[in-house]
Amino acid sequence: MLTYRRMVNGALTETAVEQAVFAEQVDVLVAGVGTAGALAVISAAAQGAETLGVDRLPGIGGMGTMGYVSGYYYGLDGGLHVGIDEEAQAMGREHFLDRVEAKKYIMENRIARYGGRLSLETTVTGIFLEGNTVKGVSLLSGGKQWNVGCKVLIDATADSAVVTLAGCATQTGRECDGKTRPFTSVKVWLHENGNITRTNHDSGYVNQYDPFELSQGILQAHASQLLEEFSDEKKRVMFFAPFIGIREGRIIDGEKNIVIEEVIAGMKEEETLFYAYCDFDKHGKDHALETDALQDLYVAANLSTACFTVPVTLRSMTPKGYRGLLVAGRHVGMDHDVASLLRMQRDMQKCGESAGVVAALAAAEGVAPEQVPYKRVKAILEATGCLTEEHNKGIWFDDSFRREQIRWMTDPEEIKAELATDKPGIAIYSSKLLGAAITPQLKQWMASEDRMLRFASAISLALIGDPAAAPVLREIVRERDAFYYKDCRRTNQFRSAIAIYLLGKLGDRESLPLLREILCEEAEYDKPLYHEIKEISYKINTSKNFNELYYQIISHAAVALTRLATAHPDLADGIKKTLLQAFKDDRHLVNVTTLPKLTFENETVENIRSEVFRFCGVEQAAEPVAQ
Amino acid sequence: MNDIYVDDLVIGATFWGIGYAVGSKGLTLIIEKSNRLGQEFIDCYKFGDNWDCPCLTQEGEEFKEELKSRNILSGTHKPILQACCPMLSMTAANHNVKLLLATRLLTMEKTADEYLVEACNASGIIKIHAKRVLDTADAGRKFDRKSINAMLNACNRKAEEKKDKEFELYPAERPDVAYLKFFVPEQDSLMSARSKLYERLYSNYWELKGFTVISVAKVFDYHYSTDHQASFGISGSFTNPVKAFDAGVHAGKAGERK
Repeated sequence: MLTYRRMVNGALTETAVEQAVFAEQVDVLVAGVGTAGALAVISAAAQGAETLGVDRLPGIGGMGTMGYVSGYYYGLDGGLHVGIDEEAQAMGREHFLDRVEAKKYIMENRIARYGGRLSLETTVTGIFLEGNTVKGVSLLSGGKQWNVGCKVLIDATADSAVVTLAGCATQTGRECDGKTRPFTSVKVWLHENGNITRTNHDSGYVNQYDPFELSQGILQAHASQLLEEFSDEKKRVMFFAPFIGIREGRIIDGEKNIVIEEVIAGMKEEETLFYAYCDFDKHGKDHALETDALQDLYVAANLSTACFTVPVTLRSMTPKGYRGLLVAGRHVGMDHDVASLLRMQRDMQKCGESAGVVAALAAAEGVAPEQVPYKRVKAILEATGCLTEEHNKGIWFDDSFRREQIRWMTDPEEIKAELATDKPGIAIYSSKLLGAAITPQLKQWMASEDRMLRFASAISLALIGDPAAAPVLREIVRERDAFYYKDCRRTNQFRSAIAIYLLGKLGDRESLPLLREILCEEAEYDKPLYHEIKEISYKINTSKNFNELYYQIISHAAVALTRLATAHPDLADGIKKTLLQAFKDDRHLVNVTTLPKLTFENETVENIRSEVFRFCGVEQAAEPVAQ
Repeated sequence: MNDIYVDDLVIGATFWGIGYAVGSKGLTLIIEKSNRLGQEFIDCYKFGDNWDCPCLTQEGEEFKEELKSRNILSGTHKPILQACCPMLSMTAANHNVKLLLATRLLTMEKTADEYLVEACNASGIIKIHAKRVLDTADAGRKFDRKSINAMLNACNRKAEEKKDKEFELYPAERPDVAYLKFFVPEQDSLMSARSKLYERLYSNYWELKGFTVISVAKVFDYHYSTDHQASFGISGSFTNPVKAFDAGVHAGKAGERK
């Protein structure tokens, strides 16, 4: 007896099926032939498995082709995608203006050459299970529905769309508000000299599982690309990519979920299938709403562009408790923080390739994927370069601004020297790792007359959780110190914002008047520091219509107050009144941005406001009154 | 999520479909299988002609005038087809058009009082009850032939209009870009059509020698005989996006049935 599951009006429904009628039976079925899925189809077919790939879009390759993001951001070259890219590049020079179309064509050809098949504009509408073992799916295409049986199903939808039908547990978005990373839309330009360039446009936050909200978000993203006048003869808009870039979706509860703490610690795995490599590329500006683990690294230690290596095993690609079912893509088992890192195209292609190999071997042997001997998989992946020890790079600053391996420090003198610089990030985070062992020295340096050393020592001490840091942190905030550290090529953090985050983390009740002043005094915005940075700067991610410093200060102050209220219940009522007073109107919003609702900038402020109202127990925030 | 009840369900966020929702006084919902609006022209690379045509409705005129004010439509160059994507999106947003993108029609059943439609999207299967259903996207079997279109870069060649039994070539809004229509058999899928197009382009097809592909259309272009053109509310059968939008508004106002 099989069970047939499908989703109706957002709820999972289940029907018992005596005997399912499968129009065909394949070894490996890949749902979603995007970045990971295309390589899964190619690699499974190359191993001799009868493979069918289905995708709801009219073309394959995902963001790299349909989304027109053909350049790579980190990840490491290796595996089948390298040859495909090289061929696309060569073909692009001769026949295509850009490698995007060529890559799609080459991948389709490779699939055909290995005997694989594709069914495009096809949606998986339901799934057949025997117990917790996947037996097949129902498909819809061109108004026709049919069922296909399979030995192994790879969900490469990037969104857990199929494993959700199976009933697998998933999680979405960050802990505090469930928001996923902002999505992007891509505009492609053709220049007078025949070159093609792209503009990547962060387009706001969207709940992609609410079909009306998703549609509204996409509509707004496309509408926002309307120019006053299309008259630039040197640079003409060629098209808007047909595929929007949703950076994060439902993530599976895997047999193993990779968590940020082990990534930062430099995790090791026995049976790695591929290594991912990137910084925590989270895109959003509302750092104050992220986890402490991420903020400790990204905000307090100012290490936003540090790149980490993540070994990924089959256990993270296996939904917990299910058989015959794998995932390949940015929905492997991990936490929300790691999801900002483990999603880059090169890594996702390797993820697809390794899933395809495992699935093909499992189908050939008639065993479950986890029963395939690792040695066999490893040999195949090493042969293509998908898996190599060179990919086990460790932690790096890895860009033209700064290229050096990061090694956490243990020598106090080395730490002291670096804390006194404008790039103290590694020393700050090393102090956190050393904990009590470095506390006496940090306290001593905090008394130094060297302002850089004193402040960075206080930040380090606070990161360890020592309240002795609070007076110096308050001093930084009281000064409204607009200095920003310079460890990274972008997203460098302001020292005042770091201090506010840490005062909240310490639960420092004496900082209450200071935080209240920031949020409730209207004169706060008149302070010079908020108006000194006038130019757009990549180093601190300031943009044209977004007051970055003001936003970071007020957002961290708001969240710090919620932490104080939690740490000191006797203060909670007063703090809630303060927060509601501070966000009763849209004063903070207009101080940060004048862009309208549904834009990335507006919603970035709205996310803080929503968090405040949620904390205060106010269900529906009153509509702000325009000032 | 509960069942959705509407007066009119429009299939396809086409120029005609958006126009219909703009003109209609009732509750209209549009479902669209892709993430985009106006695919039948924009993503099809269907250039059309005679955009600066007289309109039946004030909304149609306003739409056309806004295209002109933004230099998308001009007497000095051919229309900038791709700029219609944000333009149509803005029009739909400004008129508060209700639509569900990435939503695919699954089944449709007619009862005595209504149509019960099942559609599929990221939320799974949704049920829609509609008094009327208007399919503006399905070419059905009313077309004469179909083509897969492509945007080509002319490189050092001059893009001039050409026609033969296999293809048609039209200059675009700038001299170094051309739109190609490559005719394929009715039964071809997008993938097989793309493959045939590439094979033809690379096999010393001298008329197209020197052109490189910028992008290939994501949807087929259906060609209709003059008798059938614009006669059944299929948006892509109109000669240009302005006419399709305007006819949609007109039909919406009249409560056109199909």
